[in-house]
Amino acid sequence: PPMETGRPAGVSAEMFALPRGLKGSNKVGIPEDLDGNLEEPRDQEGELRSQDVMDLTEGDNEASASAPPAAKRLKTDTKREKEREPTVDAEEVQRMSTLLSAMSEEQLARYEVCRRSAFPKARVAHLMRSVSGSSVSENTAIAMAGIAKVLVGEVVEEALDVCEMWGETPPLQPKHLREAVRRLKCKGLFPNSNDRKTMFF
Amino acid sequence: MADEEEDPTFEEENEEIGGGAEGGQVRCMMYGFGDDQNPYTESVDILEDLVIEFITEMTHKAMSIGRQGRVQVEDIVFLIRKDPRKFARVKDLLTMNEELKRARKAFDEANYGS
Repeated sequence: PPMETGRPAGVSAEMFALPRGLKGSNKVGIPEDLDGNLEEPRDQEGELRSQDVMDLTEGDNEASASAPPAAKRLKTDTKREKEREPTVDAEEVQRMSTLLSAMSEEQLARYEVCRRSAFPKARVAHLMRSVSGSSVSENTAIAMAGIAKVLVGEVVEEALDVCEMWGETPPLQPKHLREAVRRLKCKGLFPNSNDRKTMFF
Repeated sequence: MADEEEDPTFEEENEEIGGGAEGGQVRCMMYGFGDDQNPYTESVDILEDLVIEFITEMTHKAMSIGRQGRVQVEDIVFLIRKDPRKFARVKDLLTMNEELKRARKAFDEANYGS
């Protein structure tokens, strides 16, 4: 699938330029803290959990900048990580490159696609406009596009769990996705749950 | 899912527009988030519909709170407040967008001067 569709003009997507030289190399001596943080590979391919990748995703091609990114590592506890946010740039870059050097080819390719994919601002704004009947600001469309991407990530991740739990393999089938959505709704990850009386399913 | 609420004409309109522009992105995203390199088209469609529904409902809700009839960032942030990932994401995006704008402006001004 094409990797760079829908990129808005004017902004470079190379937010974190993947260190080309490090691609494919396997660093042997992974520092202590990284080692502890690396989660079990999902299967033999050693895919990164989408949650981890989302933690590392610093921004879309929408808002690329070499800004000091949130120092979110592979931990699930994003709150704690946010408190450690004011880390030095250099440290973050160092950690990043260490992580990247530890990735396999397949992981790197996947990670790159993950980072670069985004919903086109124009498309999102158009949809919101046709729903609201009035124009929406650029920031609003950006925010919504970003949230939508997170949503996709959450659903795909949950669906992969379901798939694995049912003893099946990717590619994800509709039934996995539907079950994932059902579960996420129960967990309250869809801010649209209109019926509060529904406690069980 | 409450798909039936939508007016069929409206939905059709969306699918027409959504088929091209977002379809490619959703497919890439699925791979990026862990699915196979070639996800099933049916699955891609489901996710795309989900996104459209999500954006639509969020927009509706945002219109009903805060300044009525308008969709503003504050409203979205409010709606998202209970979802840690989405909330953090919005904050990051907006912060970075501001920084980017500032950087671009500074760059333009520097160029203009020379």
